[in-house]
Amino acid sequence: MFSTLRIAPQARFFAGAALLATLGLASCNKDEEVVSPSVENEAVTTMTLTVTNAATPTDTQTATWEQLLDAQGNPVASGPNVSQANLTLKPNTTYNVTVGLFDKTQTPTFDVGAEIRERANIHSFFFQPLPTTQPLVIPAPTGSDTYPLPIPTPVPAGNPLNLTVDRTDRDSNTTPLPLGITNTFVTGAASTGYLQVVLRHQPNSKDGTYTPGSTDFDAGFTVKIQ
Amino acid sequence: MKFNVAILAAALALPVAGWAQSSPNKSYIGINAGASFATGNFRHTDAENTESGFAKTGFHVALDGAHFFKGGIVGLAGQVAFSDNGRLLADDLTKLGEGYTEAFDVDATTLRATGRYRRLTALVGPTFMFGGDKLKFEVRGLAGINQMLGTPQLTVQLEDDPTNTFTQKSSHSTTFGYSAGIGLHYALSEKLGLVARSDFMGSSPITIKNENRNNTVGRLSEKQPVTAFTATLGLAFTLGQ
Repeated sequence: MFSTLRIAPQARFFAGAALLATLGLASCNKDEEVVSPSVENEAVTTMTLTVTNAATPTDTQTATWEQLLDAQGNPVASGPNVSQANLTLKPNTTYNVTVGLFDKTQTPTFDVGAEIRERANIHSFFFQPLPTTQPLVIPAPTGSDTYPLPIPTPVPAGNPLNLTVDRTDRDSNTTPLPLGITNTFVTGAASTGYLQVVLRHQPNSKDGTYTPGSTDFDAGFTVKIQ
Repeated sequence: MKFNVAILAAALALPVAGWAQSSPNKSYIGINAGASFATGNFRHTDAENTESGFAKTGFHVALDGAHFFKGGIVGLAGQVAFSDNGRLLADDLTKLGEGYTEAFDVDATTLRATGRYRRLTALVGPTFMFGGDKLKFEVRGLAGINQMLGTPQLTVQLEDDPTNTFTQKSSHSTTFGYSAGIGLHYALSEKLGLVARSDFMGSSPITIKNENRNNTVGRLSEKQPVTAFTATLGLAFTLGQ
């Protein structure tokens, strides 16, 4: 049906050149590496807990923990201002609690909490009532680390703080995980103690546990249930 | 899209127009090589578009053949082709890196890319050729298999946790491929001719696997459309008497 195919010299040259070019390109497989730094990073100076009695919405209070920064972005020598980091709660009561985060190095004050909501899938707040008889959610400080003021290190032994914290909001990960901007506090019998609140930054590693990632902010509050 | 419609319209209209006057067509095989111009999302460099492929203008080489039934203008064509549409360059990684740094809220990300967009296509379909003894015009539409030989592999390391890297794997998907185009045959001798071709080639989106993506954050590319316009020159060897 078909005649014998005879390939002319110029055709052989063309075909050979095409094959060589193909092999050359196929073997050109250089790797690339680029580091992309962040353009800007906001600071976090202030955490607020806005606590509203679920049964009596007019019963509301706000506690503030603040660590101001100097011009270089380092914590001021006087340390954190914990004079407003106090909560007084009623026994056997449920409270709706909202966490606020702010950067007071900016004018006007920047709402970091809004950024955290947008990046909920890689952030998580953790709450640790102290003292407690329960397993620690947040590991106790080790070595030269200390609890954030006004929590003493180590926490004095005594009756546990009868406070249960439930994070009520969820992120949009495939399996939704708690964020901790909005929460429910349920108090028990009268007691006193502390509440440690830590914001963890867990890029590509958020799994609902405290361990992965790094700490963005660590604050402490005194709590009286009376 | 308008371009695709124009090619399809030409593919339908020109054979009909040329039906009336055409010298007998002989079967042929040929080789052609030239440029592959990535188009559409395959070419786009918008890092926020998860289907942007950052593909480049590259190389295309093909073995072609066609058998014309009883010397008529209608034939069955086939093509086996290799296409290379380049790799991710530093500028591409910078764009992608800015997105990951922002999305994961980290001080820096380190991106490493290796591998190229390379694919083999094996296509068959109807062809129509008409014209005189010296110069013939061919229109064809082919469909078949698009086999990815590889796509760029991208590894992203987040600075906050260097052990927690994630990878967009090189794809070796097999997908449906197609092409439509035109060719101009110029006879150098009874057995040998020059061929200039222009084709639009595409495939259904290839699948891209990702490893260690634990949170729904940042650019996640799982499907990649592959489209390219090719312009080639080559030789055709006439078969039969």
